Amino acid sequence: MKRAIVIDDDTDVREVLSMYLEMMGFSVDTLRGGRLGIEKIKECEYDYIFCDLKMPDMKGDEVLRELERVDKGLISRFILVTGAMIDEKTEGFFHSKGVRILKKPFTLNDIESILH
Amino acid sequence: MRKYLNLQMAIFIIISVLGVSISFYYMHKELDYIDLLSQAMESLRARTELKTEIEALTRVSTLDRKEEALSLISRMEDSLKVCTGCHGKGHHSSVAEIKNVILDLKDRSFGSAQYYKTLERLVSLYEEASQRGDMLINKRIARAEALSLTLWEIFSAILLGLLFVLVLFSLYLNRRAKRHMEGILEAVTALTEEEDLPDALFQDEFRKIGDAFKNLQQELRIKEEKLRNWADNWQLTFDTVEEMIALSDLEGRILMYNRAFRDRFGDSLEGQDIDELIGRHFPDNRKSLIRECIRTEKTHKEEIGNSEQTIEISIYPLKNREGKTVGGIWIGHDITVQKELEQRALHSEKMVALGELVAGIAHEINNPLSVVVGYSEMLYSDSALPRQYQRRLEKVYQSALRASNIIKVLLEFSRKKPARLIPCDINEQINRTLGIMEYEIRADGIELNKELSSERLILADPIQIGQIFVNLIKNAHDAVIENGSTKEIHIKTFHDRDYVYAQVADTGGGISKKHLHRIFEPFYTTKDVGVGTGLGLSITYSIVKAHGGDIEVENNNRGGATFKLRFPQYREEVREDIDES
Repeated sequence: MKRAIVIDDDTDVREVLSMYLEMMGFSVDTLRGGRLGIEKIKECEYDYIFCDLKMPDMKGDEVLRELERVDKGLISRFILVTGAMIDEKTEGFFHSKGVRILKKPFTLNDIESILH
Repeated sequence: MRKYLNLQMAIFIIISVLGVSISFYYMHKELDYIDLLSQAMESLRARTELKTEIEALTRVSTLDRKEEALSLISRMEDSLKVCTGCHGKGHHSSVAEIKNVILDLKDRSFGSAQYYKTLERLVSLYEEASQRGDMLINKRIARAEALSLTLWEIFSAILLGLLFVLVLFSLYLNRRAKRHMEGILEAVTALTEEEDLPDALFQDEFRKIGDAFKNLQQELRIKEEKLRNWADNWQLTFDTVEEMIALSDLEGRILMYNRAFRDRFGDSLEGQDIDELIGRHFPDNRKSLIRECIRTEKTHKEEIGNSEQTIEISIYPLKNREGKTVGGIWIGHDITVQKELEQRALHSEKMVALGELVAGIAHEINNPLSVVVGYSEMLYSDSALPRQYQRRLEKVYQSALRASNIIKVLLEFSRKKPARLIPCDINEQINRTLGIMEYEIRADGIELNKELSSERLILADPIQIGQIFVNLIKNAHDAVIENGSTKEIHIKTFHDRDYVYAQVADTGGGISKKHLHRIFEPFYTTKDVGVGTGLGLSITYSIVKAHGGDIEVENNNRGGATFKLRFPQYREEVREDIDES
């Protein structure tokens, strides 16, 4: 079974995204902050990392930088989830890393197309 | 001065005439005197001669010298002629007697007793006549002496003569003075009338006056020139400034005004009541501003305007050097354009604020929206639920997606630049948009006309251009459904040398005047709450502006509104130039 982790400070969003993923057959872990998420990722192996952009403790791009230091291979598994407008600099950063972006609100269709 | 000179001259002439008359009188008297004296002298000389000849005859008669005696007798005749010149008249008998005796003597034979007797008679007659002659001479001298002048008479004659000379001289001076006075008068006239000074002013001792006049004239010319320059400069300044300026008297009547004022309010305004004049042009504003300013003596500023123009006016009391108010100054500054720019700036500010607001809330809204979208999607396809619930949940899902779409549009809109600019065909974008919307439009019984004759490209983000037409066509659709008795939407494109134009016209009742200029403002909607976002047209406006284009709206003669768009044409050669450089 493929494993995914959802990092978001909004409980409801974590829940709905994990439900979608479970419907798609993933084993899903959810965490409410970037710091905790990074620790969890260090422990376990995930096929997909869904991470929110705006979180109180860490921003999505900071999480990505941290993960990059841990293991460069993690970047390809990283999917940025955002409901806000991304400023050009941040967008440029994610684009340069080839990170996929999932825009809120998302449908099953959106998630499927981003994973394939 | 002139009168005085004339009087003086008259007196001089009278004195001169008197002097000359007296002089002539004295001269005549003197001539008579000289005449009498010379007659007396002549008479005396003739008598002496006669006496000498008679004595000589007496001597020669005794010596028997006949020839000599005869010659003496004839000489005596000659001498006597002188006497008879004066005394030959009848009443001087002695001279006539002498003459007769001499004639007798000639007839007597020389040496005869008769001869001597006659000679004796001649001697006695001569003695007698001589005595009488002396008396006459004495008488005459006495007469002459009576005629001769006294010292006083000579002195007064000289005095009168001198006076006469003086009079003549003063007459001469008078004439000269008169001539020069006329010269000065001419010079004064010349000064006032800006002519050259008369030459007479520069003769003899008057040269100094002439020079003084010349200096005065030059100085006057310089001062006048300065004054004229000063006045010209002020007039120019007055007419050059863009502000409308007018001066009024204490009653508010216009005294003078500058070019800008004339251009705005017309000509021949002198004497008109300025408050009334302004009131006619700006009927909605407070009246009697200048009168109030004159009364209170306080500067006043305010904005006045009508539907076409806004003027910022300043009114000052006009004070003289003593600080007394003598009128009013009205200065108007046309701020119509400035006001419009302010409005536009306000509009842009609203847009920017909106952008920031949207960016800020998008995140907050999208999270709960994700939950609504997610669960409704999962539930409406859950076959365990009754079909009725599934349908309702599907509506929840669809509505949530629509809300999400609005947020997306808002996010797009709050971006400052078009995302991706490529040369694109506006007709293609319209057709693509209509591809989605045409079915719905025709289904509502609306006649859709296309007249896409533009053959030029514009540099644009095709998705955003599509968005413009979605908004405009949707607006037209809504308007026609709601109001249109005839149901038509007309879409047209064309181009000229520089621009590509697009127009979306409908028959949906048009837009009321009060909405026309606010229609592109964010959140300004005439639709019911919940039906429109109030953002469609302001997003359209922002997109058009971001593409360097222009959009305006007006009511058409088909009973609807026409939105007119204009975009700068894309030019291949321009792009090539840029690439080459």
